[in-house]
Amino acid sequence: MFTADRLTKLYGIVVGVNDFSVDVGQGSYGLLGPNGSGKTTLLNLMTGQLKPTVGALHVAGEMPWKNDRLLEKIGFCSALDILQTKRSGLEWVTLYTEMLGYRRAIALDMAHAALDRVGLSRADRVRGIDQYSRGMKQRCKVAQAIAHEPELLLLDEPFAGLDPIARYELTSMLTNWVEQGRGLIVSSHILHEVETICENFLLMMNGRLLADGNVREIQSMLSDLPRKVWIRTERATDLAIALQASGTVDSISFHDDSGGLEVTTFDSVLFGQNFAAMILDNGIEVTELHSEDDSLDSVFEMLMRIHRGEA
Amino acid sequence: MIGKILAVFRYELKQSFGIGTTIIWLLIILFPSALQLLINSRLDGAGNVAIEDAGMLVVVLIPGAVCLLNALMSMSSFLHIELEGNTWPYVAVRSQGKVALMFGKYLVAVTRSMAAGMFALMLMMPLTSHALETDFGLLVGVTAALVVLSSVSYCSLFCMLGVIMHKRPLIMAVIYMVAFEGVISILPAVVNKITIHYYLRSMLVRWMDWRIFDLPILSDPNIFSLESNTSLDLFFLVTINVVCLVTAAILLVNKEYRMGEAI
Repeated sequence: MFTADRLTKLYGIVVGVNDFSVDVGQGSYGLLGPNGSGKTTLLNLMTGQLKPTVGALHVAGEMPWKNDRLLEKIGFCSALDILQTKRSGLEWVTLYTEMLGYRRAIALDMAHAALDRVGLSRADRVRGIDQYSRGMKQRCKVAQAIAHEPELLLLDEPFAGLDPIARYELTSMLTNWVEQGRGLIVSSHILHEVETICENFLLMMNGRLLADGNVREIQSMLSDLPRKVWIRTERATDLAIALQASGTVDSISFHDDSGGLEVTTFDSVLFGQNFAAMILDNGIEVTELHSEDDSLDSVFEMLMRIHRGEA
Repeated sequence: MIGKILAVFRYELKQSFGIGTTIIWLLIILFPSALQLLINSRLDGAGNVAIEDAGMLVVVLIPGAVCLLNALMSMSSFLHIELEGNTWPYVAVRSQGKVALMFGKYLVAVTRSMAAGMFALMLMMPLTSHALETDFGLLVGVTAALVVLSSVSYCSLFCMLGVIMHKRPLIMAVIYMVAFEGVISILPAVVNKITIHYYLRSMLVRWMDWRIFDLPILSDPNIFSLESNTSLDLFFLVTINVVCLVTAAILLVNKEYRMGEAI
């Protein structure tokens, strides 16, 4: 679907994307990372709005910069809110569909179909966009991206401003989109929604690619890294001594304010097997025990810690 | 490409008739007539005015001010509006979208500017006719032709300026207008040949068959293209138009335009 080879984008002395290399096939991808991690820059590079400073980028086998042929295959929804237009959502989506080369009557039908799919009602779509809520504008933006049924859909923060029902509807629509075998790249901060839609993930930080693959692949990359376990007990010191003696932990830190321990272990399986017997043998009552779960949230948190040199 | 340009034209023409912009548009149209009324009230009973003076005022106010101001307001900020309104990415990801947007908005600006010029002319001529003993019809025809040329040319110019200086387009366009079309265009030097006003007033004088030495307000022969002819003047004017529009299109296609949160 797209390949990047040492892709770098600089804005003067500011780094947008930094030495980014990846080769991803057809499918659905979640592009994840904190603000300023380079997600929007990467999407803008993929849609030919920006020219790479260094390196190469190919989308659907084509270089995006100044490539009109590629633009016909993609749909793009920006993260930025639409401002300053009194025209209706229907007129707006129809304009951008006509600008893809469709005749007015056909573009109008396509716009209606796209607005139906994103759930903007017939009454709302003829009102001025300046009267829309953020969620309604978001639906319009997605509609203009899908109206021409592109091969690859690139959405930058599509869930921003949507209420729970709209989020559910958009999630369903995108899940259906993926099931039809079409390409999708979604940039988002809302990890669990991306996790629902996308099979694969690209995790970015400071313009760099932290990891890519599905959740299992990324977890397997982390298997040799320490996992954190939080334990709450009134006998924290006794537990720490017992844990140290067991040899299953790498480090222990006390949390005086909460009366708990934060333990890191390189072998979470062995730790789990020994922990119950250890507290029984020592008569220690544990009131709370939890570890990082297997969700994408946790994986991402772990990668961030590694990137910052904290793990 | 034509279909895309027409789509933008239709959309932007409707968009351009907001309440605020329409009021400003009407005020600009009324301005020459208001000024002419003021002049008439001052000249009451003072006798006829020479056609050169009355005619020059018509041309200075309508193609030179009404059309220019309309072109400036409609065209100079065309890119800035897209960038500020966050709609630029949707244009940029359409095949030939940037150029289609430019020409679509250009057509809207030319249409609004021409319409304003023609309305202003229709309103002003009855107020001026008493001062014109002869050549009334000719002056109307020449002014109408200059309205067309002025609208097309100033829109091209401000289109290019809007692309080059997209961050502060209106301010930069006004500075350019005052410096070049205001000051440099009336300098008796070769540099005035790069201004649109130079060709417009030269064609006015030639088409009206005026002897420029009879013009008290513009009596220096060096500020008209006397040695030239209409075809050559039109050629230079068309060349300026083509250069402006092609430059704007090339810049639009080749330049990266970053939105507020592009990083």
